[in-house]
Amino acid sequence: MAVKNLQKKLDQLTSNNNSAWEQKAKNRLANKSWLKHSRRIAIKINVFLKANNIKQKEFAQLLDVSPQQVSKIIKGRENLTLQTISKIEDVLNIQLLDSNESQKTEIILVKDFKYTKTNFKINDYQMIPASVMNVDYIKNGCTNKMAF
Amino acid sequence: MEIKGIFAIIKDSLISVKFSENETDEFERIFDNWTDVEFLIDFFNKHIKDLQSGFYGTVSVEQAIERTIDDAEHLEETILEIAESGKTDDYETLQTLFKPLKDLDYLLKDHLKTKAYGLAYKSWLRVYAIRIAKNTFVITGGTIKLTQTMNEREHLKKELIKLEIVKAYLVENGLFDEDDFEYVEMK
Repeated sequence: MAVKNLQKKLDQLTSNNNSAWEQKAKNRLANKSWLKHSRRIAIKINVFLKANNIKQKEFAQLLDVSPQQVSKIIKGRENLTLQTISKIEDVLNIQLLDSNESQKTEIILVKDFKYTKTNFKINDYQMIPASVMNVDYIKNGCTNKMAF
Repeated sequence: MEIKGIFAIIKDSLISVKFSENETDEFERIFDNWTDVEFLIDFFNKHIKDLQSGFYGTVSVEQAIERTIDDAEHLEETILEIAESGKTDDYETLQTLFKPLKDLDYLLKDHLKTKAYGLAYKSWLRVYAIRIAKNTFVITGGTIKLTQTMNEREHLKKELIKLEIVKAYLVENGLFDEDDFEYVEMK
């Protein structure tokens, strides 16, 4: 036997209570790309602060920012500027961004095969020959080489 | 531990309780935690032995954090999609996320506790809920489960207690009918 008027009862009990989850979830989704970077940086900062027993309050003073902003940084929720990242690197004397300036980037391209691309004729397009240039990912496996 | 109200996550379908000791409802709280680097680093450092016990293979704290966040984002993205599709599809897909909490049946002696699994991996994320009608779930909490059973760690035992507290709340507020339960496996 079902609970009578279940949805009505639920509506009454939840009428004044709004969960912020949906809005937060949408924000996390919309900002997924930079949040990933922010969190990776936050992991490095957290590890360093704990290893060196530096409290959040001290970290805020070192950076000359509010405790609220520091809290967002170490939670991985701050959209950090390059200026702020550099400042953190300076005050903590750590490296947050990878630097490969001394390494040359080598791209190895291998001509792989040719094919003929058929376009749909609905717009009277003609057959267009095309070629594909493939990257040799195996040869590009080294860290100082970049693959496209 | 006292319940201070219930919150609609997806109208008429997904409800969450809020406990007096927390600022947010349980559903909001667990996803806040699962996307919070500071929380996660403390959690995994505290449970480092479980993390490196081999139950999930060899996982570093950093990997565990990234994996948790990825999994949480995937899960909430799915729930957002369900919330949207539910407007036209009668929330049919919500129950695909839940499965009976079988491993606890012997302990809890009823059949209403369910859990939602994280989706991306053999997941360690757990969302606990009580199903009170077809497609109507009340979230009681959630945690990161690094061990085989729930009785091994305090944070998991706490989730069992919360299930019982929520059940009592539902009974008290006339939202619970023991006979109405349909024991289905939800995948």
